[in-house]
Amino acid sequence: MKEQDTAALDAFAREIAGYGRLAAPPALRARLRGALLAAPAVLPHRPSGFGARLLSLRPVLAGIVVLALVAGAGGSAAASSLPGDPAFAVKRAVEAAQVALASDDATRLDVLVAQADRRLGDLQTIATTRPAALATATDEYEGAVSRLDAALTNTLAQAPTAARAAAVARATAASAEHIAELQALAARLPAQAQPGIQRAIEAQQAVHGKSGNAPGRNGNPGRPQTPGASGVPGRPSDLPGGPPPGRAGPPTGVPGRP
Amino acid sequence: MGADELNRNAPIGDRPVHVDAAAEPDLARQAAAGDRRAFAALYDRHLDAVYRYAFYRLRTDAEASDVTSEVFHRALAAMPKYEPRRPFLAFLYGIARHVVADRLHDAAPHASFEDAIAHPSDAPGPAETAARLDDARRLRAAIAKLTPLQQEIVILRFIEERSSKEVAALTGKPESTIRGIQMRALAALRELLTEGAPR
Repeated sequence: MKEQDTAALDAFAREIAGYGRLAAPPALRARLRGALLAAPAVLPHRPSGFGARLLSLRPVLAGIVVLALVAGAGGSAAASSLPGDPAFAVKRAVEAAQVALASDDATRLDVLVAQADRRLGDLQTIATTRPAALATATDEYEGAVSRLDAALTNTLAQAPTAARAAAVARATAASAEHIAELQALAARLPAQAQPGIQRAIEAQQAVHGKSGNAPGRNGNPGRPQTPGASGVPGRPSDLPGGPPPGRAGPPTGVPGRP
Repeated sequence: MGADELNRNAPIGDRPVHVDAAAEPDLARQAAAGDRRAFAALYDRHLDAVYRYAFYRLRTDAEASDVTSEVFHRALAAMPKYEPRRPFLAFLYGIARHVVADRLHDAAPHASFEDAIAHPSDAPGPAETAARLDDARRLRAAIAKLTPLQQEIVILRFIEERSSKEVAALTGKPESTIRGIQMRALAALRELLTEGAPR
């Protein structure tokens, strides 16, 4: 190719580089980002055979390592840490080990409900004492709800048993409580904190909707007919006369939503 | 901004988080371990590149959006198997190539160059933005007339400004082949754009 032609093509290449560089539409950017962040957690592939047996020991080893870390790095500091604190990573590692060590999916669901409870408590504490860390606390809460959502999906996909039904009932009741707590929190937070809180409420509404449609619920066959028959003590859905207003029923409107 | 300094106060769906290239391997490792915020940062960094690739390889803006969405969802699902030593964008392009190939395999023939010119932009916003999008659509219609390999080389080499070595790695062709094809592809594209230009 002649030198003159090459120069002309170089100029043309620069020209198309200039007008070819369009950006993704803003609507796609926002919608896809939200969808990716809300997508269910991806579980790593589990191999079979000897490798699987070795890998099955990993949670136990992880637990031992984490316990050693906690002992060495100041367990009490980690236990009382809040999202954004350096020691919070240790606390999360302990929680991850607790999930990994759960003996079955119903137990795992209970563990994740308890962890979501703790994140809600963290969020409420931070809203009062450390508003600058509110976004971090909201993210951590959303992460906990996302893990709970994935575990709930997994539990609902299994054959129904009494233990699973009870765990789902506990998750449902906890979810309704969380929505009410978050709505109360949203009412006293400033405008810039609203998007995060609304996302958190929507995440919990997704959990609630999922568990509310589970087999054995909403009048489907298998639903416990007698208060307390589910064997779930202390949850509003077991109270005589049904759940109190704002608890365990369908989530209501979200304050501040457009 | 580094991997440990993500803007944790930025609301989801707001402005993209800008990340240094040097922080990308750490982010990719965190994302592979299940850190969704790290994945979001990588998404912010590479969304436009993936969208452009889809835009110029497919026929319509809607298909480009669909494919971009599918690429990132597939990438998220594949993160546990992601090899951190591989550049993350190369990982995304690898997925994008497969998704685009599937689409093209199932789709009707490309819209003609004349169609692209006959349907000016309906995009909202300033005239300049609309004109820019129309230019991009004309370019897309011309690129569609190249061979698939030429299309990839033009998009990656001249629109995305990747090196010959990177394009060779992404397409699985020798670098010498890329260098040989790129000028012919460019000449063909210039010819197509000149033919189709309004007189």
